[in-house]
Amino acid sequence: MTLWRSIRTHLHSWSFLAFVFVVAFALPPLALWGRMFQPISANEAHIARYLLFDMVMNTGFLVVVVGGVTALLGVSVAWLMTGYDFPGRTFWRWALLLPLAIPPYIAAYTYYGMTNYTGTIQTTLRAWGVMLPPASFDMMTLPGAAFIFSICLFPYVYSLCYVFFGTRCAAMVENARLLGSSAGKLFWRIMVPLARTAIAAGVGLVMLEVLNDYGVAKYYGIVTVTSAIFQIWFGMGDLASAVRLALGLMVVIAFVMAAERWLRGRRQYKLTTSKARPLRRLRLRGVRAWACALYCGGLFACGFAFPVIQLLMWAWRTHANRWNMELFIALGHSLTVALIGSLFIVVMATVIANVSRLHPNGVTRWFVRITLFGYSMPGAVVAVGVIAVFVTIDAWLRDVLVFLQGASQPDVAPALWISSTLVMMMCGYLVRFVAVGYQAIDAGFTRLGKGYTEASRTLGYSITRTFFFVEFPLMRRAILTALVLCFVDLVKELPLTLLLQPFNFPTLATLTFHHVNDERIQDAAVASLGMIALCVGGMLVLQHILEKETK
Amino acid sequence: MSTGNGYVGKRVWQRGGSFLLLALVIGVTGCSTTEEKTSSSSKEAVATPPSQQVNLYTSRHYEQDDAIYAAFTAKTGIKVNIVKGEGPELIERLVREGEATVADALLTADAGNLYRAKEAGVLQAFEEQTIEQEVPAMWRDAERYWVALTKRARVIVYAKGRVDPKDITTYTSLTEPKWKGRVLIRSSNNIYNQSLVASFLALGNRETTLAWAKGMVANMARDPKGGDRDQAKAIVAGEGDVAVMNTYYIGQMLNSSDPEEVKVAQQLGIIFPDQQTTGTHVNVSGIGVVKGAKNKAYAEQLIAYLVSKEAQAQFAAINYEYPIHPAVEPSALLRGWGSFKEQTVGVRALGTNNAEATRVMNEAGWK
Repeated sequence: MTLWRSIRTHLHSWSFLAFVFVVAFALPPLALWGRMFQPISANEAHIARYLLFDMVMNTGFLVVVVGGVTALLGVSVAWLMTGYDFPGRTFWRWALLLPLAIPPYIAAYTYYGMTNYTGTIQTTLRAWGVMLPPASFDMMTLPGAAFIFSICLFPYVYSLCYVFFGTRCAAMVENARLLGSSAGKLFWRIMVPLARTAIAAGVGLVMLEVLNDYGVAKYYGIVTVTSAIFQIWFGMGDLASAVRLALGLMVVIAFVMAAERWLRGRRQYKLTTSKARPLRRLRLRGVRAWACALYCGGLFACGFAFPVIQLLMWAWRTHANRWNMELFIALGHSLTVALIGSLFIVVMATVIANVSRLHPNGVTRWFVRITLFGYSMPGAVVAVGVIAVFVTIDAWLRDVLVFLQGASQPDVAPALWISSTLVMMMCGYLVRFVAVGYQAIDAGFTRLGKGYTEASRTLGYSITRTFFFVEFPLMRRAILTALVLCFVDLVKELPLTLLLQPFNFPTLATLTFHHVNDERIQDAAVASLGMIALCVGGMLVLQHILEKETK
Repeated sequence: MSTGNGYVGKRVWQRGGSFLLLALVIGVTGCSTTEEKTSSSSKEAVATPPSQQVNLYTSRHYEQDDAIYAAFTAKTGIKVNIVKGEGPELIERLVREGEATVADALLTADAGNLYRAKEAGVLQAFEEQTIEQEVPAMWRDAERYWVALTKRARVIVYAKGRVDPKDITTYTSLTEPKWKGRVLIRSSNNIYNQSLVASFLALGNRETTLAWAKGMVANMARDPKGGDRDQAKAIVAGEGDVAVMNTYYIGQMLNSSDPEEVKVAQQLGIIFPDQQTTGTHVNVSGIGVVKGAKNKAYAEQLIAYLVSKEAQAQFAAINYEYPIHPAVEPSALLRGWGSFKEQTVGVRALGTNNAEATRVMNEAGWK
């Protein structure tokens, strides 16, 4: 009887859909899982002997430093925007999201292009007669890479924390202020612990992005776990070992995430009042106000303005050859693919997040872990898994066709019906980026708490009805944020696109890559700017909608 | 927290709601497929065989290539459809797609990749006779699985004025103590370096090669980083005095849209090493017919066109490379550098030694 009850409680269309999605997400990594159990090859022993130390140290350094720096930058900016008024706040509030529009590998090339011997800074100085020592402004170092990642990725933390602070904390902050808490104490003792989920989600995304980066590490000559994966694959032609290393990385990531959840424990914060009004901001004056503005301005300049100005200068030089039809076709492709892909991701992520929230048990915890699979592996490895799945589906389709026609096998030539189409590329995006959508939406659900849901369910609304009429309006902000984060990520995505693209389907990212790969960053400037413009456009739309909503 | 608590109306709504959700999902799916139809029909669907077309996977990324494909289409009426990617990844995609693949030909840079494609079983022998007539035996696979299209040399460049070119005659010169802290080269992750070291493995043995790699590491001016162009820039900036790089990068820099890059390239001299002995390391880009190709005949026509006298000069000149066709002169810039003796290890040896080369460099501490 209890079993029946339990089944009836847990089996509904939401959990069914979530199950289907999760199975689909698990397939590509599973398609590679078989490789895990092949005997250890000589290449792995070789990697362990000669590369392991470097790659673990470098990767560890990058993940820890970038994680720490982005947390610091992201939370501090989010808190400034929530709690204070200072010159240009409305502008900085969305301008500090803009660094997300620049893919780290483009920033890496651009910063190096700016600072190297033939770069703008050194040539200008030489023109003024200042000769610098040869190795000055060396960006291509471990700290240089950490700088690039931090400055490009901190908006992940910022945006998730800002959404969290925005609607959550007015009463607590005001009480703390009334009780005489200092600004610092307020921040460290109240805001940071409260925002822990949001910080963890944001920093988690940042760390995953750093772990899976190949572009920056490759160009800057830094041995990381991911660069080792590609060295085994491309240099030694041993995909099996590469996949195993990738899966190993995935296991480590899963472990770290589980540890974070465990540390967070059963602590949950819920709103006690239904009036989730925004906090009244303190107006800063004098030095403090300008210091805040300067801080934001500095971040904006490093994360967005400098690289974009440099790209504009290059684009000016090369635009004559790049301002062509292909650019606009690629723009169209990027836009449609990213739009459709991010819509899908948000729907799926919402379903999974809602189910895992309604039924927090062992099964849904696995749902969440599997959702993160795709994001915790290098894009190219995910792509190989996706291809494996689709080719299998095509083989089945062929069998079905053979069966239907009653023909003998040779009549139906093996062919790819859905592999090599947009469907495959889209599915690759979903597998890879559903984690981004999930993190944002899950943060939204956490902020919302269960109060409304329980009230609505007690009053007789079904799960679906509760979602559409109660939760969705309250979640709009989080869902929109998820949508834009995914859109931006999809526009920027490269390795997966390279492997899964259909014929004659240039996107802005692949167009950029073709030039950058050939060390012609200047020729890539126009396409890069197109990509950045698309991302900025997406963010502007978000901004516009959120703005209207608050009014 | 129970779902079904008996009210019919509520259940109906719940069903309705989930249908709505499903409809949304399906609706969006529908959008994506119609989108796909329009986008592919606008560029002729790849899956329709009756029209004359050939599907090419390529790792060459130059816009000027399109002009050559257009000329081919104008001549033969065969349209060229393209997926541009990176060599190893395209090969992996072909492996996964197997016999069912839609690709007809694979064009990729570097001997290592061509060898790997053949080993992976994604290529098949071509039959077209003219291809063999145009290309010397050294630059094509003995079993006709691929044929080279262009050549590039991996040479030593030096700072004019600071270095006497007579001091460097071989790649081994760079490991002499006098060059300590003056040598620039990119990382071992790079396939050009892997092929270079693979050629030494073929010419010598593991010990000599490891000793060379260790000598290079000992003389490096800085940890390997950046691309080939960045090594050239580091010379002019004064970080080092000599660098190893591919010839076409020098050509590209001399013709760069950035005047500063042109200035850098002008300050560099080129040395073709090992002229008295085994010859300068030469690598290729090449093309092969994909196993399971649905348009094999067209693919072979395309290959025959690309190795023909007509296309060779232009195809090689686009990227400042040396043409593979013996009767076709390289571009004026390359002629200006003079002719040189080429390594004769053969492309196959570069491929078979690639993995070992990577290991040797790792052992030597070449980052």
